[in-house]
Amino acid sequence: MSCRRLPGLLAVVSVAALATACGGKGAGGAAGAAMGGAGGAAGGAAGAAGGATGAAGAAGGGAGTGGVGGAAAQGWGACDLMPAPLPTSGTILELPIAPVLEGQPFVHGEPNVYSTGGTITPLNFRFYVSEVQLLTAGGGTVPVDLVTGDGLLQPYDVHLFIAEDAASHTPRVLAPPGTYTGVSFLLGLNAACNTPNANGRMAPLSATSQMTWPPIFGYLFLRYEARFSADGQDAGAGAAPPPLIIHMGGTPNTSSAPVIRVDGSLTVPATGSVTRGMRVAIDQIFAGATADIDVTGTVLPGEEVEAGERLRRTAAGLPLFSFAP
Amino acid sequence: MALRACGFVIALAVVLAAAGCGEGSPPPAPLLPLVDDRVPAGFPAGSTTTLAPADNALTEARAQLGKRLFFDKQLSRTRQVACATCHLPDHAFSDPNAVSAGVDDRRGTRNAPALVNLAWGEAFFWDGRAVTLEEQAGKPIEHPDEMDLALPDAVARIAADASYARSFTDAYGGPVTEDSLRRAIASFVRVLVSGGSPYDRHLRGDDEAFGEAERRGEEIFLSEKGGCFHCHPPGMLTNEGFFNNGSYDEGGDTGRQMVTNRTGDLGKFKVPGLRNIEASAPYMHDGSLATLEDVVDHYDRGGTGHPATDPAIHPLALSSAEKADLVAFLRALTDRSFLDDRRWIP
Repeated sequence: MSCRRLPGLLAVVSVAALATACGGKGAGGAAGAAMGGAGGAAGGAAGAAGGATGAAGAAGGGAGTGGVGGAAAQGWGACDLMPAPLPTSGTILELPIAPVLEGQPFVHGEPNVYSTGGTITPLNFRFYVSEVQLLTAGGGTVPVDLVTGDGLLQPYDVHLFIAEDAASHTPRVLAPPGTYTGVSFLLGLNAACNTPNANGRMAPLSATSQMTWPPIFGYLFLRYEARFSADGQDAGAGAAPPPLIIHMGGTPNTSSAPVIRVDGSLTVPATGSVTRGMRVAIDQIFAGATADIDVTGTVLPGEEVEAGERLRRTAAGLPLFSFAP
Repeated sequence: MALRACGFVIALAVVLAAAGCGEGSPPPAPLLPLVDDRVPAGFPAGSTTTLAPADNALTEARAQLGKRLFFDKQLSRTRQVACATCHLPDHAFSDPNAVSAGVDDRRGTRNAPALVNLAWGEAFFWDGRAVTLEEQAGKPIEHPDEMDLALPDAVARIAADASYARSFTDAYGGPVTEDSLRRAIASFVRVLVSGGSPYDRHLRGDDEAFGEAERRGEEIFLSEKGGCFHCHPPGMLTNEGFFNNGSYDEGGDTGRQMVTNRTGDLGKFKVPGLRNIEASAPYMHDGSLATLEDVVDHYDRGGTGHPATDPAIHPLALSSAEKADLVAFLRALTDRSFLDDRRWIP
């Protein structure tokens, strides 16, 4: 109740009042954004995205906009409920994510036919998206703020995709107008957010995220649970049933969230909003979770944790996400 | 810093909303002593006051009015059943019977859940069919197996009771309506905060009442072997989700599926918070388990084994000593200061 309502509550407060109340670093960041967003972007992104480079001056038409500077000002090294000043300009880019299984829609809570025989009924599927960056033709990156449909900042600059909640399927960012070659993001949380204790945190980092783990273990980055039914069919000679539980993450300070890169042309207009659909391939998640990697001894015992660790190690190199055709 | 600042913003918004109620609205009543702003250990920031929706800001007058309504049998068709008939304060506002007796001794199919720390809740009833306390509050009044009284009729009865008139004016600025009736009851439920158990004190660093057995039990609770934390994360002890915990068997209550119609939601029920669980027996959605020992045995067996059971539910192979430690931990969730609080009683 608390966190879900936060954006709504904030919406009734004027932008000026919010900037004042949430001030401090935010107000300063806004000023910095207005004065030199691109430079701030470079500093802000550096080191935060696990290898993604800052994009000094590479923000295309968006250099100097509030959205770029906003994300840069926070530096992504922190995990604040209100992480950055309200962006003052930019276009809302919607990135609706649709789960697919072998190219077909993967319907939550319903049996989905699997090619090796039988059906998969997903029971719980959720993951974090954070540190979103737009990719530019010159090889640079433009960090952008995650926002609500109203353009308000997402708490902690983090989005939680929850399969059973259609309203959560669309991460939105405030993007400087321009043409981009793709998008990248963390499939999970940065180190500042991936702390071993959720106490006091609001959504999407509260215990009701279903991503918190006991103290010392931090947050899950991705949680997948399902039932598999052979439905009387033979799974095929040598065909293994799909993983039923995959828990990726949950080891703060010892593992980082994988950086996901999605390539594809992306044009952000100067006004209005724009939508670019994405897909997340469940079969690729299975591929990562069952990769031939020995993770014994590197994570806690447990099939679901080991499957998650294999996925974490391989995710960046797999086509987990793609733009919809 | 940011939390504090934005807490201020939320408070400001609430105040602005209250101020906008119009000419003639009564000034906000003092929030003490009934409204308790304690935040149990491990809960998200935000007191009961700030968690209340903008159109039902929490005040002393509203919570007191809700308390009176909660215990008022006029709200049932037969005038013999109140909310408190099935939600007994001494039992953490649950019912010691597996299923409660409504009007004309009609029996439902589900155990009356404890009403504890619901200010932080995100869905209500075992199947989550209400998403706010305000929405929840009216449904038992109208349910044929519970109080069986249409809300318009309930409003008429309360409106005819002159002793309520001043209270509704003080709380909501006018005579009783369906909205104000539900909002008042929700306000009372919202103040039922429990955060004084030995476990809460343990989380705050005071282990005087949290001994070795409790500590071992907590360790199992938080381990992959016990696996309890998957649904009952430390702190809140509920993730507010819906899971099939192995209580479902063929032909039984379909639970969450009644709300979503999803195949995968068969036999899923809301994960309850566990504070005061010792006082809220019997357990599970149908009250089918009489004791905490039965609950631990249920999970140790892996539930009923029905194919719809969540894949995380499987036999645990707990030893007798481990089971005893788990029960000791669960008993450490008992908050006597909550159970003995006479403010809840008219």
